[in-house]
Amino acid sequence: MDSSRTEGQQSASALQTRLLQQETLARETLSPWKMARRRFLRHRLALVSLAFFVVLVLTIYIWSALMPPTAATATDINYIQQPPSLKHPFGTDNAGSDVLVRVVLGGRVSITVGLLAAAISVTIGTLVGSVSGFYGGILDNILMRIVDMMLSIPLLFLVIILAALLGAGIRTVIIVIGIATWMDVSRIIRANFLSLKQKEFVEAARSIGARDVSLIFRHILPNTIAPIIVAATLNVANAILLEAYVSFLGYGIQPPQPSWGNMVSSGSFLLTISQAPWMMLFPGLMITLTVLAVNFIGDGLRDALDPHAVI
Amino acid sequence: MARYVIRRILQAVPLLIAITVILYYLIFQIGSPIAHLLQNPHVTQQDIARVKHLYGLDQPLWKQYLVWVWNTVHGNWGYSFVTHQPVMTLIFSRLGNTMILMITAFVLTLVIAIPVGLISALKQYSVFDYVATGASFIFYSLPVFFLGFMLIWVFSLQLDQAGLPHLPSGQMYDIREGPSMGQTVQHVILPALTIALISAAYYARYLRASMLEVLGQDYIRTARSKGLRESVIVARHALKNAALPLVTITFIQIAFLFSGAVVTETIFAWPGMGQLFIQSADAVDYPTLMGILTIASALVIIFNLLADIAYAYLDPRIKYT
Repeated sequence: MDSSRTEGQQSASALQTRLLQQETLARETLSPWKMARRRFLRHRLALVSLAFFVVLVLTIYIWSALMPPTAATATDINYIQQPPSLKHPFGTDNAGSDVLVRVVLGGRVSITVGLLAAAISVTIGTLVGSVSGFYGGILDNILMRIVDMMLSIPLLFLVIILAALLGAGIRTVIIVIGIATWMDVSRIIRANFLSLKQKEFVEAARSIGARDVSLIFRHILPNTIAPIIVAATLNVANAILLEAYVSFLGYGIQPPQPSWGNMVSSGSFLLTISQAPWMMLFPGLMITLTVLAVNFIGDGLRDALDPHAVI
Repeated sequence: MARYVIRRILQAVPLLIAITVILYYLIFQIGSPIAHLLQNPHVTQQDIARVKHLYGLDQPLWKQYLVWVWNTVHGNWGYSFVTHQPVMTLIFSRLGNTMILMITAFVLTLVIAIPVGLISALKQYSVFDYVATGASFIFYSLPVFFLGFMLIWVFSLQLDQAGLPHLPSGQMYDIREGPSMGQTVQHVILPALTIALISAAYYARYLRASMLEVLGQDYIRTARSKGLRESVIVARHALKNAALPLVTITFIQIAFLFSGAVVTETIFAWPGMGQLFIQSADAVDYPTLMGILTIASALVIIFNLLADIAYAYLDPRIKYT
């Protein structure tokens, strides 16, 4: 994986030099996006992870749409805590519900929370970061002190206070994770804006009368799309983990509605661990595999979009 | 340098004050600590008014906050609504336990991460490097609680069922044995390992990258061409410089350790600050919540400050004004 990374970097800089040389001569050179796509396709683990993630998400969404609405809580008291079998591939839980069915339904909740919470955090982070970096001055100062403040409260403490405040449920978990995790994105975007706003193309756009809104969103922001995509991917992984932690601690998705976090939690009593370890094993494995896949995708995207970044 | 430190300290104070204002406001929106009295039909309106007056809950919020600040600065952190102990006593009885867990976890992290990161960097693209990098990705993606339960399952339950010596799955000591040094050591292993394996994954990746960068520098080639032994080059020339970014990460990791402690202490019934936080949040015990959050935020701010100062001190190329 790492050998391909260095090769990717070398060929990337080679490509860039070639690109610069040929830019004035020929038109069939590679665009930056094509270059990025080539580098990403060379990153085998990221590619496998992307395929895994897409298949996983499609399976989970389609399968859970086909299930009857009562599937999550359908129980069979004759089959309590049954080990994995052909009829119940992931076994059954304390109430005799099928763990596989609940893993699929819980997966829909966990992945939805992960994707939407990351979307919120990236949107807030991008807006705050661009405004802060573009305008500078007092506004920048105030916004960055808010960032400092939110980063000084340990994340899980902040999330639990906000979750306790807004109440339990999918919607609040999404909002809470979204508003607790935008700070890193805003710092990255701000740093990018600080250097980009000095560039000639911004000067040129301003000189032909572009307004601030257009300068920010049409001229500068598209140039920061690479770090935004990488941050968004990694935020999805972190949001899935965070949802699991919050639900595990009892402030997130409430049973009987399944989420991967609260499923691990309900299988985590000492007696259940020893008698029915599959109750926490399968949802736990699903969190790990999903987060791992998303992290690999993020890693591949970072190498593809930003060949100069370390780690 | 002295001016830089003073300026940073002066900036930290208003930051902490602003944090307490916001937290105080947020916590009061969660609910009332006397909610159980409001629902009780046997409690009269007069009683409720009396209790509210007793705790100062009848005052406007800003006044309550100012009283809280005044008392806190003077060493009175209020009384828990649950145990009625002074918050300061309550927190400091738990803070020590959290420190035991964190320091053990931190030492274990270094013991695992430094050799792994070093060997990965020195033997880049070897089998060891691939295994270590793969493992670090996996551990980095593991939820803390899942890893904790897996460790309990294997090292407490499976070993116990097999009749082998096994590790305890929770608490700080066996009730039959009573608290002792030996008991604490036995009981801290699994929770500390849970935190350490995940943060070691993070550290080892950083150390590897940082070592690889340093090993490619000109002065390492100079040292080699002088004929220095490789062990001296690695230990004296490379590791020292490669460890520099790790110092910053170490201090910044303190915030992660707090979050990790909340989950880990809940899993292993470790009587620390994290467990106290969850218990207080469940009961809307606002004096205890405010105490914990203020201390935790203050520690994060102090450690971030120490990170910057340590970095400036260790790397003379950085000039601060």
